[in-house]
Amino acid sequence: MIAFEDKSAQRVFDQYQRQVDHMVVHLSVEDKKEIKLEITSHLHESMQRDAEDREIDKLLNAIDKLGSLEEYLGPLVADKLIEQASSSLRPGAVIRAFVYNLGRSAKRTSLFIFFGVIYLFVISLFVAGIAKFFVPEIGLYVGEGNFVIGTIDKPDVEEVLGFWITPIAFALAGILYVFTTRILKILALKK
Amino acid sequence: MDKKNTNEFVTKWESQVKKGTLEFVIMLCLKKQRYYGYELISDIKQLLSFDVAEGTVYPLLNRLKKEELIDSEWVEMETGIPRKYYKITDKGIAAMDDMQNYWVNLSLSIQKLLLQK
Repeated sequence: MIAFEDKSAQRVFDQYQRQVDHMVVHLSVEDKKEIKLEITSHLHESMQRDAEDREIDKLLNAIDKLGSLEEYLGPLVADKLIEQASSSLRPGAVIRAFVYNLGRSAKRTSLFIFFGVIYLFVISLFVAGIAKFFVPEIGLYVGEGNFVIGTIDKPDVEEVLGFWITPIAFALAGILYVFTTRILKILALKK
Repeated sequence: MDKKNTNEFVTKWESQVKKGTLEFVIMLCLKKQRYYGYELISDIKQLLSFDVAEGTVYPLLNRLKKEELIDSEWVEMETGIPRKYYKITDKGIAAMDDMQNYWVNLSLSIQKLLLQK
């Protein structure tokens, strides 16, 4: 923590720290600590080499030269959220990575839209597995050129799995979820 | 294309070239010695007259670290504010050999083009 003699400089620094806190709120404790310490270290070094007399001027110059928080911290947070989603596999982390990365760049947005469709399929499989208990007609229907997970009202189309649809749909959804989340990280972080 | 548009185009092109070569420049610096973030940025600015927003270097350092081309360590300082030093890894040195070869060949090819009448 930088010790300021000037109260105004301290207030500006605290305010800046709060903005950083806000941006890194969803990152792991370790990442938060690392990022905040590196920013503090940078500001400190920058102030040490500034010829201005007043602390507040030195601090404002240092912040100004570092650039906008969104510009330099945004890409870092976006990458780290993808890494967190991929390593933890928690749905909350995946959703946060989605929200933060959509609109970040054309490449990221198109990639996340594509993977969003796959995740919707994963959710559909999961829902179908549960819904079987409430709507027994739900199942895997095969025949007459049809391959449908859900319900279908056609003769000569047979429901093939019965209540096995539930464990199979859960397993398939789980495998697809893990695979998709790992691939998403590789593709999103690839240059 | 009038003069104003030409200048705009050149400014944009310069910015793209700087952005595209920044990782290479960072790696070149780190091949010579270890650096902490602020020191690295200052040297890049001084040596190459690169006018970079200081913050833009950190996502690149993070990316290079993820690729295991560079590594970092915190060093405690007397001031009480530690410095995070970055250094090139063996993998980074191997990558730099390829990158330098590519850069030299590219420069020579462009130089040839420039000298052609």
